[in-house]
Amino acid sequence: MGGSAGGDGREAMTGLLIRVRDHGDREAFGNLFRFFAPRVKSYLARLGASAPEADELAQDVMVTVWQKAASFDERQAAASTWIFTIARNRRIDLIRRQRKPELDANDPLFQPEAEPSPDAVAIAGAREARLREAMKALPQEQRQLLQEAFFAGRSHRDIARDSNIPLGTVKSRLRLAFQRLKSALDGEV
Amino acid sequence: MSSPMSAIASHPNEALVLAYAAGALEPRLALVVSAHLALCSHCRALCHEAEETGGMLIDAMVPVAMSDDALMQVMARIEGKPAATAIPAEFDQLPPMVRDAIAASGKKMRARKRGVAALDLNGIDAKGEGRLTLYRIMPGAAVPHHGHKGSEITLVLTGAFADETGIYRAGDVAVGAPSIHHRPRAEPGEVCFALAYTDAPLAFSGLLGAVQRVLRPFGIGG
Ligand SMILES: [Zn+2]
Repeated sequence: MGGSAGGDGREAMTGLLIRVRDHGDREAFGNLFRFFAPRVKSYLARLGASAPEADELAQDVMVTVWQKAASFDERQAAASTWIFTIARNRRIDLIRRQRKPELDANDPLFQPEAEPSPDAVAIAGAREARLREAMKALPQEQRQLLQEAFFAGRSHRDIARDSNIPLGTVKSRLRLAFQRLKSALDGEV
Repeated sequence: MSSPMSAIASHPNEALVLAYAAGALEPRLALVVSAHLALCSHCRALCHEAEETGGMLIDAMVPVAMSDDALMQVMARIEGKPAATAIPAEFDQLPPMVRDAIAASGKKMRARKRGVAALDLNGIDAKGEGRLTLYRIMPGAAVPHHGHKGSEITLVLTGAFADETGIYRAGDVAVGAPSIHHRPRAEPGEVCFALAYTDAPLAFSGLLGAVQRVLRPFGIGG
């Protein structure tokens, strides 16, 4: 449903977070939880956390979302960006005891979704599909850099050294990838 | 218009900011970068671009079902009162993530010599790669002449200090190679708080090697 309203998913999530911030709205928080917790868990599992560990960490992230809601500013970030930073910070704490995960060339994030996930929030569906399409459409080199930077916990320096490309090229390719993804989403409004 | 923030003359390398945004830095170096971001709108904008991409990636993750009672557990924790740890008022002027790290460390400032005190922020990970220390240098006081086995990155949080390589003000990042021996002295006027991260000798070929003292010609129309 809602094929023409891909931006609504993002705005709906931001609206929920505003209700949590302004009114301590537990129902809104429950909806945020149902959308983000399984995705944060997925992100942390990708980074090498075991399933129980990823579950626990995703719970920590959601508790932090509640506790820090007062600092959320919708003029500066969408809910997903803000929640990413919380998950990212939790993940940074993990780095020291984590082995670097192997990259999966068939990473489902970069593949078309075979079947709709049961708990996906319906209005977010169009946006997700568009994102996955945009990622698939990235040149291989940019896609790979995104994977390595965000999911292999590898510094750009390591990537540059291992791929034998200059650091400046790593940076510029990554920023190109950022811009392509962003414009793919901005085009939908 | 130039904001007060544009007075920052030296920034971490962009690769370091992007690595932080993606979550690829070890915790203590991440704290240095995030404290710089709190003071620097220029680097914050770069970081935000990467974080937006991170948000998109989260949106697009294939969901993995949470355990059955996960939401219940989280709601129960939310109802409980978080225990706030009080830290001394002298830290009020520091960025929030630095105050959080001080509270989490449970450590206190310890005098090193006249006018110089230090607080160890290595926490449970003291045997890890680098060392992170918060310094408090009284106006005019100097840290003893020293070199490092590794490379050192220092972020000024308040006040200013000067050494043989220049003057560094709030928000500035100073990077010292292992070969540098220096004697930072706080400028008169304001107490200088600074975060210093020193990496292990072998780690230098890694990330800190990518950090340079970058002078950007803000306000010079460049
Ligand atoms: Zn900066």
